[in-house]
Amino acid sequence: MSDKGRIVFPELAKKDPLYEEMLPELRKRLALSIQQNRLIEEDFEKAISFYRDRGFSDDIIRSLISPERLGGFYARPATLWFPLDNAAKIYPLSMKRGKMAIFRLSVYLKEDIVPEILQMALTITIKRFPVFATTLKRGFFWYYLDSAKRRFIVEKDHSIPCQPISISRSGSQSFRVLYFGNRISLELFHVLCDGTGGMIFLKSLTAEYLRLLGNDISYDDTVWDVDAIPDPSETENAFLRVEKQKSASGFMGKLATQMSGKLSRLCPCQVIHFVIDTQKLRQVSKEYGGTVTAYLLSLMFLANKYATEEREGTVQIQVPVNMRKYYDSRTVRNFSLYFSAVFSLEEITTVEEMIPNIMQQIREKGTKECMDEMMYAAVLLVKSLQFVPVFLKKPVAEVVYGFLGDGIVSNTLSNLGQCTVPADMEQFIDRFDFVLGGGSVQRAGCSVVSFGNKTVFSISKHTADPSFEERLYKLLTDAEIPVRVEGSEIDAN
Amino acid sequence: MQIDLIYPERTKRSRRIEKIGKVLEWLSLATCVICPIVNYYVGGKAWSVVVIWAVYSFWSLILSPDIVERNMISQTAKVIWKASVLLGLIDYCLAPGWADFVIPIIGFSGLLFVAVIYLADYKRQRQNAMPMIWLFIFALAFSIASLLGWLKLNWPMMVLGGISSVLSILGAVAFHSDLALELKKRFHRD
Repeated sequence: MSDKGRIVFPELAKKDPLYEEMLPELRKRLALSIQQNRLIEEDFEKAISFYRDRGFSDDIIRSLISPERLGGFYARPATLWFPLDNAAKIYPLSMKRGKMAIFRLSVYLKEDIVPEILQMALTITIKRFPVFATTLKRGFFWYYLDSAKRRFIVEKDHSIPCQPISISRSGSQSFRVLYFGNRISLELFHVLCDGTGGMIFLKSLTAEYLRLLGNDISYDDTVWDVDAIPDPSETENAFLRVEKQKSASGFMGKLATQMSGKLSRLCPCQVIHFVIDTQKLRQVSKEYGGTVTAYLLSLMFLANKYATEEREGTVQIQVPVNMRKYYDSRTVRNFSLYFSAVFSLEEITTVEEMIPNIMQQIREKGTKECMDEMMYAAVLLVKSLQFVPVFLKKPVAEVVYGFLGDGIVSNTLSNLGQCTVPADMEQFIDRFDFVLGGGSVQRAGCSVVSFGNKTVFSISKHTADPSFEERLYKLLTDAEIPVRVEGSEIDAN
Repeated sequence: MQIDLIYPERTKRSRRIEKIGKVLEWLSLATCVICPIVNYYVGGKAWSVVVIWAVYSFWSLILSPDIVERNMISQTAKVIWKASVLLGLIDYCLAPGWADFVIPIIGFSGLLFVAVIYLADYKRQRQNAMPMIWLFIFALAFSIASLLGWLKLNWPMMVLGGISSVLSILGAVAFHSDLALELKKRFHRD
């Protein structure tokens, strides 16, 4: 059949009547490039097709993916911008090709992911998180986040977690949404947010995905209503809340003993998850008189000692502290600091002997006063560097961060704690996991998150040497804690 | 310890691209070491300086491009200044007497090109205006230097000065709010 000289295939040209009905309303809300508009239109078409296959009625489809749910996000020009928060300022200054501060949060659902619906969920959710809808730009004195109006994409998982994100192009995403089997993963460049902020985004995205599949999911403090208007307090630089302190300290330290394996070129070169029974882990920690964090730290110290050839020196494990527990902030951006738990190699003996000391270090170093001093130091540092151009700051930061910032810690333990979701969402979720990207000289970085009765302890490796994780595994199984080990292949060439 | 694989393998393509990149990086590095040695022992003109700059330009544009802000305008600006330096070096080291004529031509052609990119894709490129602003500032500075007699004043330099002045004024009038926002973002200190 010919239509004004073009060949039209009726079976291909025929669109779903509901899609045709939605199209004018949809087009009113899209003012991106022609190609991007077209892709969003196709997303709607694919979603409708999916709903048809599942037997959803027109009314339900209309209510789920009404174009009105896009709001004015894709119709308005990109005018928002955000100076980086105090913690984020170091990341672009210290990044190099192949080395970026990336972390990953994943949720494992009980059923396989439907990519078309996940794409729709992201298209709808992103408007609620303006700080994620940004591209990193270089200013004269500091980098900043410039808003990007585009179709933010979901991709099939294709590699070892936490590989660098390409952020160079105009309007590039600073995060990735990936799916694989029953897993939705969110990989974030640390300039955007910390683990807590990322988790709010992931949970809100997952809740929206489940809603688009026809489930009723309620909202709470960590699962946000994606149709609500973003509040400026959610994107505040909360570091500026700190009041003047008597002293400012916390960033400097002695060089730490590192594990001895050869550093891999790919970072991380492998990711390993220990899936652990939460109750059993809590019970064992309690038996030793410590918290889960203290118990895991003691095991990490022992495994670190086992994985190094050094016989002198100190093992220092960095423990991030969520500052939201001290300040009532709703920000999704970075608002974490850290302290280091420190033991000399001779002091690393047994779990029983170490736990009281670790608990004491946590109590002393993780206080609000200590964190405030560090936060104040960060604010002063930023102030003192405000007139130094980026092209001078960057080479210095690369060296300082690479050899001192990273070199003063042997390992990291980032514990996001017990992750909760609204009760009507729990039934769809199997577990969460949390993976840190690699550092410059640290051979491993560890992270923990629990959901229900599953705790996932993740290790991102920067060396092929398996001593650290094998020792940890042995220590856990010796304590009669059942562990299931999952992970990626190793790519240490 | 048995690990159940739950992540896909890296594709062969990404490994191959990585390997090719590594080989090219080592070749570039070897060229930068070997050429000055050969140049020193063979003698004659300092052609190795030109080679090193050309390899560095290739490195920074292709092998190790900008991690942040690799857009049409920034890359065109980068090509213009790297090509101008290369031509200047060829003129100075190998065949003198033509660069002060050719470089301004490349300069004003480049200015027109980035202006066209900016206008043709205004919605997206207005967030990338800064490299263009720097290009205009440098072009104006060179034109003023030639008017002051510090550089040779010839017709390409006059055209460069004319185009940069006219485009700067037109840009400031037509896009003043966008440019003001762009400057505010680029020069923020908090």
